Amino acid sequence: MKAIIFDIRSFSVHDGPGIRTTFFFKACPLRCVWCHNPEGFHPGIQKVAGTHKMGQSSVPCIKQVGEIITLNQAISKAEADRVFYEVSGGGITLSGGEPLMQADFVIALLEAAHQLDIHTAVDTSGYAPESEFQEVMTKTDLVLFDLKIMEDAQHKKFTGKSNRLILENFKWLMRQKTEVIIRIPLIDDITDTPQNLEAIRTLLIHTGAIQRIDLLPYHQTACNKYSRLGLTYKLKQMPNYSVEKQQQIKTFFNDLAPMVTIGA
Amino acid sequence: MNKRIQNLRKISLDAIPVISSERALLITEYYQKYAVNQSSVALRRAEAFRHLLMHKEIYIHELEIIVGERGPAPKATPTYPEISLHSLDDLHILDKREKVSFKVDQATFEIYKNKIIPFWKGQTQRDKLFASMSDNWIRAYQAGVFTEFQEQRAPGHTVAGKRLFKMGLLDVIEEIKQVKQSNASKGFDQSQWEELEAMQLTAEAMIAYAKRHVEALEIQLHHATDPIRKTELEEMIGVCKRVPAFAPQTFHEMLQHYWFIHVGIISELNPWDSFNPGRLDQHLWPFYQQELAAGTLSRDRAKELLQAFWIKFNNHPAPPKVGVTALESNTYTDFALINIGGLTEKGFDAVNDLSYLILDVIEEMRLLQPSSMVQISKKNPDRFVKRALQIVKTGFGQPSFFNTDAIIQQLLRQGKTIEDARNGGASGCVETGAFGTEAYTLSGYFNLTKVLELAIYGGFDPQSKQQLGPETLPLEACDSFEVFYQQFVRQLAWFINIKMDGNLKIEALFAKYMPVPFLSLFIEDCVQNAEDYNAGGARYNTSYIQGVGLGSITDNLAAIKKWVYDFHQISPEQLVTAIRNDFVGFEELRAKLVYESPKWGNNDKDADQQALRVFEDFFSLVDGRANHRKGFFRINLLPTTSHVYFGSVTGAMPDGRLAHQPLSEGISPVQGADVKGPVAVLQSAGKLDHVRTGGTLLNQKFLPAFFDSDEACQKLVQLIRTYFRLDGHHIQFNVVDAHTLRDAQKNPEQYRDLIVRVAGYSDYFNDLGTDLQNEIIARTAHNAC
Repeated sequence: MKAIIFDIRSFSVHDGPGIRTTFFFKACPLRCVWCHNPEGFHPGIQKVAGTHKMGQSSVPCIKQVGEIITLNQAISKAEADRVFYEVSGGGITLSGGEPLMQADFVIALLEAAHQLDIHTAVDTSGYAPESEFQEVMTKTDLVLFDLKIMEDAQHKKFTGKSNRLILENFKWLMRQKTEVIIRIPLIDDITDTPQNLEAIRTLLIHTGAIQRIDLLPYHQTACNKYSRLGLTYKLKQMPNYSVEKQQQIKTFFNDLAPMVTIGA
Repeated sequence: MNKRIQNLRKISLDAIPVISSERALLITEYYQKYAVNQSSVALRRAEAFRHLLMHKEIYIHELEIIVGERGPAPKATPTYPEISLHSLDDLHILDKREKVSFKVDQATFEIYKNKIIPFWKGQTQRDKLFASMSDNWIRAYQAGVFTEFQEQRAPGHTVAGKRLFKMGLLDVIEEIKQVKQSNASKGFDQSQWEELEAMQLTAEAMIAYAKRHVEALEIQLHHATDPIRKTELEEMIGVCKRVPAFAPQTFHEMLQHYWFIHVGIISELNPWDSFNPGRLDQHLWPFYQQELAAGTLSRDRAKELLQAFWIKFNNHPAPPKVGVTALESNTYTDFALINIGGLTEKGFDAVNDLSYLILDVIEEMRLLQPSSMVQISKKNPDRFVKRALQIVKTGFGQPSFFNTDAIIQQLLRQGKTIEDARNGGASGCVETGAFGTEAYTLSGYFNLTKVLELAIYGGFDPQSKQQLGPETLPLEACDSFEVFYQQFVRQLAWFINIKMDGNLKIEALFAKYMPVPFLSLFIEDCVQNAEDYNAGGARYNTSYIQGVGLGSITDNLAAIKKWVYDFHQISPEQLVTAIRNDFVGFEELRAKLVYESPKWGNNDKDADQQALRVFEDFFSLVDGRANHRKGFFRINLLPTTSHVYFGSVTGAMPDGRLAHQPLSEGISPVQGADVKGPVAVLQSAGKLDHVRTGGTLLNQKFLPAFFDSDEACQKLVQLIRTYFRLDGHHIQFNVVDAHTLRDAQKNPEQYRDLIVRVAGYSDYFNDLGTDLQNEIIARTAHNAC
């Protein structure tokens, strides 16, 4: 069994508890305008023109975005980092792109990790067919679930897809026992409007106990990735998200969960 | 920091390092006038020591509470002409060089010209040393295959143990007398009797030196008008009347006792890596606890005393070297490394309130010296690790983190008792030692990459243009990687033998001509054995050779294997032509070597297996061979700043490094080569068997923003814990500053590892546009404390 991923990274601080190995899967049904991982858009392996920087000059080269990984390779990668998980309470995180686009592989990897006693997390947009979504959600120890825009037309405008499926999946998920961390990207005038934040709050109040909310303030660092991939970055002129507003929004959500954090 | 400490700290920071001729003059005077008919070298050394302590100027600043200064003023730095003699040119260079300069006044030049140079020229230990070395040794040394620590400084690298803090010098003199009357003494030869005499003489000289401070303090008391200072002076007089003659009984006496002895040891000779109090929180803890309970000491007063003690270290720059090395910028740091935490002798968690107080002191003082480290055992609390990380975050590189459990295993493997092992730690940069019981000498850095360069050229050195090593098959003539690697091993064995042969002679020279009876008083079992520290009198005697550039040699071997022998994409002729030409005209080839070869520090099997192989060969060529002091040779892997020097004598290499650029340092990856993040670095580094070394050094860079969240700090604690579970010896975190980031903009290929972390996402600094890079630089500069 194989999957296409664009990176494997360890020591991502915000991808779940402890020291983790994060697998970034390629392919995503959404096109969020602020996305910081545009390598995850395209489902296949891409070859893009790049450069090897040498001093003040650079040597052109072809860089490959994406690689095939077998289930065995993924498992041995996780096994290699096991000692870090054991000391830190970490594990593997499946992110992307949208990992559920390669649900069969994800399910197999989660099952294998489970057998090896390795903690698992899945970072998802929630945009996936119900049956696949539900199977993955019952097989992972932790879900990182993105809540972006509550108003459907706006959601379509900024992510390219309706949020109906996402919200249905979310409501189902919140009735399960799986541990969930809610992640809310903070993008000026897109996700942080009073109406949207209020709508997220209302949704969360009605879905029952929440352990943790992570606020992910917009950062412009990703814009270079777009040009490297030959894509256009629509938020080019937007500054980094204001620290003051981060704090206000944190306060706004503070009573909903024992832990509300702001990503660096 | 109270007013007094602020002022003393400022005086220390503002003091300009100067060369003081005081010591050179007094030592020369002794040898000229008084040593004429003395037969015993040890007695002469002891008398010279006494002459120095009896006549040197006593410096006591009116704000001081801990007294004793090596020179006539803070940062007035003596020379050691009996070891190595500065020429007038050397003094000029020291005076004028841009970095780490030492000012030399006209009077000092005159004294050097008229008195010091005429007397010592051709007579120094350095002269004897070079005269004893073989031609092969001299040529390899000059070509930069290895350095020799004892060429300019005395063997030292030793650390105070329990003995120093528990005994007054009168107790030590009593011990000497008992040894003289013991049964064992019947077997003593003349040199042992003389050594005992010399030891006693130095102990008495030190007591007299303390007495000179009492007299100076009494004069200050006589003139003092401020009642608070009067009380202080009375207290100081009381302290200096007791220590170091009697065993210290209070916190204040402990610090003063140590400091007198410290000044004695670094005045007697210039031991490489200055003396060091070692496990300070352990030695001071009983007194701190008792006095706090009795109400005779407050936490604030203890802190003030510690801070005054810290400033004393900062007043004492490393004595500068002579010869070509005087040109190198070098460092003022004399590597007194204070150990905090770890385990007690009985194996309990040794972290106590004082450990935390000392961390507070380190944070507030922010001084270059002393260096500081925390020992972390699996039994120590996370809170302790976190507190240390908070100080790292402020960006001055201290404290570094050491694995107590690995250190203990290393010492046990070398044959120390479990108690001696637990009382040990690390000194200098990262060197393992049994404190107070071991004479562990660092003999010099060894340029592993240079040896590989020689192997590529069949033993010929293109830099010095001579056949330096044995004639072996050059790279072009090797039809498999295996054959090439064997050529490297032959070169390695040849140069290790030359180095060790030199070391044996040098150890013999120090045993014969440069005994250190004063230092010998404090290291078990020199007194009992009636044998000098430099002659093998200590309980344990170890000689280290420090391998440098493990990352560089690994990447070179991996690149050769991949491109020449596995992929057949680059012919050996093409590769050798490229490096001979320093890659001029081979830019694309170089980019490929830099960016597309397996690199150490990425948990890459192809690279890491080369590192393990070099480690095994280096280890088996060195470890366990007998030294001259009834002990053994061992290896460690650390560079201090030698990776820069070693790089400067090594041409361009197959890993894409340009000629004369620095090599990798310690066991760290080549600058910028670790592109997979810290976990991969630790995976690679964790594959080495640190337990079979006497210390390894690993550096990791982080941007300051990384430390912003508690969660990230917690993960760093876990990162350290994991590395230490893999038996990793040491890790230190460099918080990258704006200056470094600007350099990264200029030399991106050397900073391929710099990762900018943002929520849920990270990117390489190199891959960001200039605007964003500038933004991060501005933020980094802003955050710096």
